[in-house]
Amino acid sequence: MKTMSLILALAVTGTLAWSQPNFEAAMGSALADFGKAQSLEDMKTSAARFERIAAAEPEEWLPGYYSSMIYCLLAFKTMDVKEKQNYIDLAQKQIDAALKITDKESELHTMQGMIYQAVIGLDPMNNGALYSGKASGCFGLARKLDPKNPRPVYLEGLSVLNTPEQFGGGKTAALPLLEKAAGLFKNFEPKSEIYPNWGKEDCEKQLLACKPE
Amino acid sequence: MKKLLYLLIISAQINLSAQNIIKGRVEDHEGIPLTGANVYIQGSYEGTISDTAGFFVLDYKAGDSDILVVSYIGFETYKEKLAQNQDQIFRKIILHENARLEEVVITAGMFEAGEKSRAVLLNPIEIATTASSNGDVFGALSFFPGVQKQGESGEIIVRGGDASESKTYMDGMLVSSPYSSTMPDLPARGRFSPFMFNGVMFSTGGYSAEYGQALSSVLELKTPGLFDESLTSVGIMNVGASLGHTERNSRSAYSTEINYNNLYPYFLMAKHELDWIKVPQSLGANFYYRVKTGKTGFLKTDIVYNNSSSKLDYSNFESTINKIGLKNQNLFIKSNYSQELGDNWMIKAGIAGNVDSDKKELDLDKLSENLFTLHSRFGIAGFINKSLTFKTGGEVYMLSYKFKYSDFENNESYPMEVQDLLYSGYLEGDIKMTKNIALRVGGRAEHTTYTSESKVSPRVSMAYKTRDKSQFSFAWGKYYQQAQPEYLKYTSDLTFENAEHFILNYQIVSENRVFRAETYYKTYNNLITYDPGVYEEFENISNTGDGYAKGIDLFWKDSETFKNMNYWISYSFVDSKRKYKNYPYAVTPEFVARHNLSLVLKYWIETIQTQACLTYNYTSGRPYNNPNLPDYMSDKTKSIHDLSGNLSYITNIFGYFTVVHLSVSNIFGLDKIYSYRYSSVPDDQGIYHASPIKSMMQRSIILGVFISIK
Repeated sequence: MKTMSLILALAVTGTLAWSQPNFEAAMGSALADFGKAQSLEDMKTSAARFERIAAAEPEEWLPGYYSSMIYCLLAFKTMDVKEKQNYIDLAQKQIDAALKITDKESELHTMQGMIYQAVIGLDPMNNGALYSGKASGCFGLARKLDPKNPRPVYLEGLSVLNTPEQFGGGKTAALPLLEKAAGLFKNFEPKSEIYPNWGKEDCEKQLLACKPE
Repeated sequence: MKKLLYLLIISAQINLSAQNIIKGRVEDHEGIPLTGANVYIQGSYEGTISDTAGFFVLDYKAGDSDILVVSYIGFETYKEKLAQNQDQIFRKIILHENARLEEVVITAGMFEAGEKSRAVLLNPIEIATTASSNGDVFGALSFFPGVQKQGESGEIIVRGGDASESKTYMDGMLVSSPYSSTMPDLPARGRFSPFMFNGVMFSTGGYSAEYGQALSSVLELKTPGLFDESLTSVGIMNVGASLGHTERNSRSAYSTEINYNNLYPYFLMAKHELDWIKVPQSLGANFYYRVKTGKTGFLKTDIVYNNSSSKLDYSNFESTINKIGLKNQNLFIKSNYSQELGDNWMIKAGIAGNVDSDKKELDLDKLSENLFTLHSRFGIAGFINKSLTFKTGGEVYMLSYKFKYSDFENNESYPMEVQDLLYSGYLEGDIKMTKNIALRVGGRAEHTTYTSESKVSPRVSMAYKTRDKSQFSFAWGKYYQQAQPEYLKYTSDLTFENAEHFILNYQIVSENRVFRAETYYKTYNNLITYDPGVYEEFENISNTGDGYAKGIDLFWKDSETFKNMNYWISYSFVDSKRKYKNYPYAVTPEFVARHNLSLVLKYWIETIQTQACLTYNYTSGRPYNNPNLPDYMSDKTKSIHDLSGNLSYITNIFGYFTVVHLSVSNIFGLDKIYSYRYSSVPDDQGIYHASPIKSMMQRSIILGVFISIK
């Protein structure tokens, strides 16, 4: 019986591997397409594609991460409050599922922090106090889980940069964080082609803008 | 087994199968096209999204058991098993809205606040920053409709029920001494800081079968899961200081805090009539720990300790005692565990212990009260299907109360005690009859060993959604409560006091506005009655009292109309009479004010990063018994007005996020007379003399600086 189930298990994996395009290849091509995305429509198509891969691969956190990221970017881009809320809900749903797969992945907590920042944008007066704490908590946790990950440092720096000086934000306060992030970006090597590897250029741009003339 | 192999072989042929095409349109139940719905074959990466007119064309490799999936946020996912040889028919796919904001929810008597609930009525930060509450949870609750704060005790009175009829829970576990211990006529505060919680459920009646032993109201304080962020916090106030640290990890978190309060500077600044021998001071320490276990398990443990002392000279007041000293120690420990069992079951277990030791010195006599309670509960929730969920569980509640009065003059002491074990079990089902009608039916059985009594209390509530954002709710239930230990210590020959609630509620909720109107009728039976004793405090204690309370509560909250401003207004009217305690006949009790009106206004002043809050509260006169008048409880106090305000200035100190907080209660220093205390014997002319029970502090000022260090 045991051997039988083993054979079956092998057969099933074999079948899946054969019938489905390879996971890495699918992710690679979805990422490449996302890289070419021009319009909001393209982004939506990309997000939906990652969502489908996530649905088909319940053990992989990467597709959920990317679909969450794209929905979050859409939430930042759109101006309509109802639509914003919709994208935030989509992003949150995807990250919730991914965090169920693993809660030890620095990138996922970084993304959760980014979603909280989008929530602040929804209604700064009412959400500001609560969600800025939540976002910075996520970045703190992401840094703890992987001190070499530049993205939580960069996003935290960005949020400090966008905080008014009276609240302890501004260029001077953001500078050390962005410098640290830039240093981490220089040495960062993604685990493979399909692992997160974004933010380097933006970080350098922001850093340049922050540096005193 | 053969079948499975066959399936495997078939599925291995997927690649060899032909391409297939499905065309269609995705729309909601009103025929409005849904743009961006994800359309795909289950388990496959390939798919498409619907266009702006809802149309889609899905090109896929046909298999044997293909399932078409159409998903869209906020809507139920559509699934359809496709036949092997697909015809090219055009599919009209109608998605049904997920029950969410538009869901029909039972709301009679219920106020819920939290981060996740969309129809947020109040969140904990709003509670903490409500002026005149000074960060006291119960103080802030007095701005809810149906709630009246008893100025002289600090306790809350809900809909004509006395303070002991309200119970406080933390994550489902009973807090048997929720108020701090204070001197007679000085207001108590809640023991817990509102910042400990991320949600509040407050029910002013008609609550679920999960809760028992409360005749009037249930307050459920919900603590957060894993804390948000690692930080160190420092607070310095004119009344004390605190230091705390929170550490967050991916699967666990802890938070710890010590605080010391001394009211000396406070009394120095405020006008008052108190002659302290020892100004109140307290030392507290808290520890909270959370850990995730396995995939879905979660354990929360909270420990809250507090130690306080004070001594007061009472010789100026109409009192037989000159000096009162008070020492109190309180320890609350609770642990909760919850875990999902599969997709449809959830178990919860908890245990909580509360030790409260109160030692009073009454001149040379001594009075000690020790209360120990242990509460344990276990519950299961099951989701049978979309329209039926149920909860069931059991609780054991142990109470040990020890009382001792030591008479110095006669060198004698009078110890008394109560040992009670209370068992209870509940079962409750939530049924969605239609999209617009929800029904909750439940019951609760309770048995107590001390008075050896058993009771079953049925509960029914329902909600009917009239339009998108408005609904009616109705609740009915019977509620039983064991008599207070102060009576039980004299006799076990008592039965449960009971109340029956009828509540009708209407509410209309939009994203940023809430309007609620609620009317209720409550009857009371078996209330405790006694005769004032000669040797003992109470004599002939029995359950021969009864009464009623009826009224209407209105609530309006708006955070939309004015920019950067949010305000809410509550009004309550209550008409209540009862025969209880030593009342000769049914009268309106001394704690009931017929009209209560309150206004809370918060304004964010952008230019100076300051949140300002103003509160106004009006309480109509309360009855009191004037022995110079022929009728019992026939005199009435003057009404009370209170205007309070606070400012929270947000800034940074050395780059750390800092809040500077100033709060002033009773800005105009108006007199607040809550009641009168009469001398027990008349003077030569046969007149009884009175001294007012009033607010001991005319105006109070609190100033604090709170810094978060990351």
